Amino acid sequence: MVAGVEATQVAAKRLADMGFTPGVRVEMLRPGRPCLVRLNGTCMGVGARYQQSILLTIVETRAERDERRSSTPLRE
Amino acid sequence: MSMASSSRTATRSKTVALAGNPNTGKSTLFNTLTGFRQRVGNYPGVTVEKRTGFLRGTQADTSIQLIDLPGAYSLGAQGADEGIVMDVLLGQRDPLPAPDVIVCVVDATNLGRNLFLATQVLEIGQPVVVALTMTDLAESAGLRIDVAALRERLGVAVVPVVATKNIGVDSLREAIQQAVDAPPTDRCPSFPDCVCAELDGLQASLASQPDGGGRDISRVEALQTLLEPGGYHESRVIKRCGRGLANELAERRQRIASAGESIAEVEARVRYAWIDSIIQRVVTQVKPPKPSKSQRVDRFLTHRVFGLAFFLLLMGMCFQSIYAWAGPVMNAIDGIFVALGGWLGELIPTGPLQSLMVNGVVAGVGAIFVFLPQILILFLFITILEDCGYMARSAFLLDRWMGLFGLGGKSFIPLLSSFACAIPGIMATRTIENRRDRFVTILIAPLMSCSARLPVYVLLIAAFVPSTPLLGGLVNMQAITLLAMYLVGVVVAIAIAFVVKATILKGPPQSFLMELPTYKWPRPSTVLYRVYEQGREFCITAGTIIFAVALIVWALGYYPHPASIAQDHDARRAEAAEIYEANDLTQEEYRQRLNQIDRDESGTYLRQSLLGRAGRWIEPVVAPLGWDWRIGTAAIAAFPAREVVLATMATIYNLGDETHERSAGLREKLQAATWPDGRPVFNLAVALSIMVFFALSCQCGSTLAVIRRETNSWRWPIATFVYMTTLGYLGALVTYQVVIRFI
Repeated sequence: MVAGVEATQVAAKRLADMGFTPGVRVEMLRPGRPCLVRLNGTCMGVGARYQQSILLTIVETRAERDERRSSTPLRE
Repeated sequence: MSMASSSRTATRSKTVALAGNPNTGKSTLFNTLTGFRQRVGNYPGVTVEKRTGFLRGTQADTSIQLIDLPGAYSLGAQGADEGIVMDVLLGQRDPLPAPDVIVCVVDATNLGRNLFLATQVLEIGQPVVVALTMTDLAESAGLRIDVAALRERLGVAVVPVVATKNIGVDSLREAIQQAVDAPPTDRCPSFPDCVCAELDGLQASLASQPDGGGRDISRVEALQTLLEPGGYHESRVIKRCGRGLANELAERRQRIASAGESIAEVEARVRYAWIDSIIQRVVTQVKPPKPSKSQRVDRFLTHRVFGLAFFLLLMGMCFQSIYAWAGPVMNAIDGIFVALGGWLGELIPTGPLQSLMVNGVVAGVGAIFVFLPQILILFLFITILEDCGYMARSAFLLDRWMGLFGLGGKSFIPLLSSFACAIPGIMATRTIENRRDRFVTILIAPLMSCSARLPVYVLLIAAFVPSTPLLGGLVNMQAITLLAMYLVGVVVAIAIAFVVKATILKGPPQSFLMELPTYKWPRPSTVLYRVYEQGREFCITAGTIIFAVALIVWALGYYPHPASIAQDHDARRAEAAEIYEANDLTQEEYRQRLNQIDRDESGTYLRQSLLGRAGRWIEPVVAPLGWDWRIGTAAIAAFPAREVVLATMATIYNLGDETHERSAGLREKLQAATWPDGRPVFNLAVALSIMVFFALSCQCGSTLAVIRRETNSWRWPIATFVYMTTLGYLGALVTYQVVIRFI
């Protein structure tokens, strides 16, 4: 989950416009620089400088996510 | 009033703009709506492509112009290139009028992020139609979208479309026509009171500017000015209203921050909260989310090792295809122009007109068309890779490596393309959104050793570099020299990229932040149209400049053209004929003698032409490189197109037709050429000096013409020519002066 963004106003605005706002869930698909994340259902490549700006809090591991997904009831 | 003029008066002309995130199928929709009848150009003052066309299938009395805007995630902008979207939507880009309707293209598979831009567009206050694309992909991903509910929430027409299958296009066309006279929506997210108060204050302040400079600044632009410090809109507003406004903006932002709102995040927070409230009501996940095909493919294609290996394999195939497929077609085109020149040569009597047509017009046009196969094939690959969604992955994979040189991942393909030819490479920089990265890539692309340099390398290496075996016979000195010539361009390009990014294109470092679109099959008609468009543009824009340059070089090489030289050689021909008639020469000997007289005549004319005189005039300048006037003349003649250097050298050395790189005649002539004191002109140092000059200097009028077109300015081609020629000269000077001391 995005805990916060510490960047210049310009970079922070750009990240926010793209959806990186506090409280948003981010799924790490491929760590590294740049890394690959899933944000609001979209696959996004995030370069090193932006990575340094985004503070993430781990709220769920991959195994926990898989477990949750398999047991989440569908919305009617 | 005549019927025609009456009909013209009755026709109502309207403008519709297509806006949307990148990779939402916006251009495909534009192509479908216009039926591929469109005009492509650049917006004045920036390097952004402008695509306009007319909406097909509308009522006979309505003419609707469509504008395809560049993809954007937000109306906020850092530079002029990014600011185009808002400028066009607000009618601030001449000669385009403000659109009567804005079609916001929204990807149904990612409604949340796409509606961010849509909410900004709704606030412009013009009628809006939402085109909901990729609805088929959304369905297969288990998403059900309640279109009626979305329409009701947004207060504008929402039309699901699948442009590739022509589904919903007629409904969209109808919705556009109905929206022309529709009132704008009032459904927009509400900003916190502190932001609204400062925005109201800013608008009032702008309206009261003494010279009226801020009166026509809309609320949408004022909002971006307020919430994007250092952005394009702020700098433009300050330019119009004066520096005093900068202090006012700082104070207003301070007050917003004091009220507990983050300037960078408030807009995103408000908009995404509003969007979330909509999505909760209109989107239903009817099937459990499972990894899509794109995700499964991406596990391999974005892998650090396998993905990179696949990319390199793909590029290898691409460039092998360019060489393998383009080569025969290029030879065929070359052959056609040679035959055409020969035919015209026989048709038109000897004289300036014949020379102009054969050596100026036909050779000049041939020089343009010969590049066409490479350009078409490269753009076929690039368009397919872009259309299927792979290009974003390649940028992701290479971003880290290109970052070592201060560039982004998207610079790799243009630079790699430039090894075949800098022209398609420079045109391929259109895929780079960042203006600074794009300009740096354009500047260094001509340093990659293109295929036109290869004949020069092959000729001089074969003639002057010994084939000494190295590494136990695994390679030899000639192969290492050829490799070194390719590497010298790469090494210098890296250094130039560093210098340019630290000086003239200095700015905050741009990092990679890009959406990787879902994979999809490219649409053949879109791909073919795009390829055709690139080829046409190249022929028209670059062609006109290179053609003019070719004519100038022809004139310099032809004039003055005294009749006395022809008379002298006619006398020699008559003498040869007498000897032949006296049976002192065989027919073959006679033919060879006539050919030699023709070559001598061409060489004599060239030596005393303005070009030849220029070669002699610059001899003191090129002497430190170890060159004589003949090499200088060939180098000057090769500035429009380096391919002509061998032909020019052959003419100067009176060789006639034997001008290809493996020609033993030319090689021997070069080896036999001497200074007036009898010293050989060519040796290893001179050969290396010439090769380094060719590796580093910009001897390609077509490349400069394409840089002019892509950058929309003469500044960049002039800068490229000056820096590369200077580098070429200095590189050749150092090479000669160092190597001559060791041989």
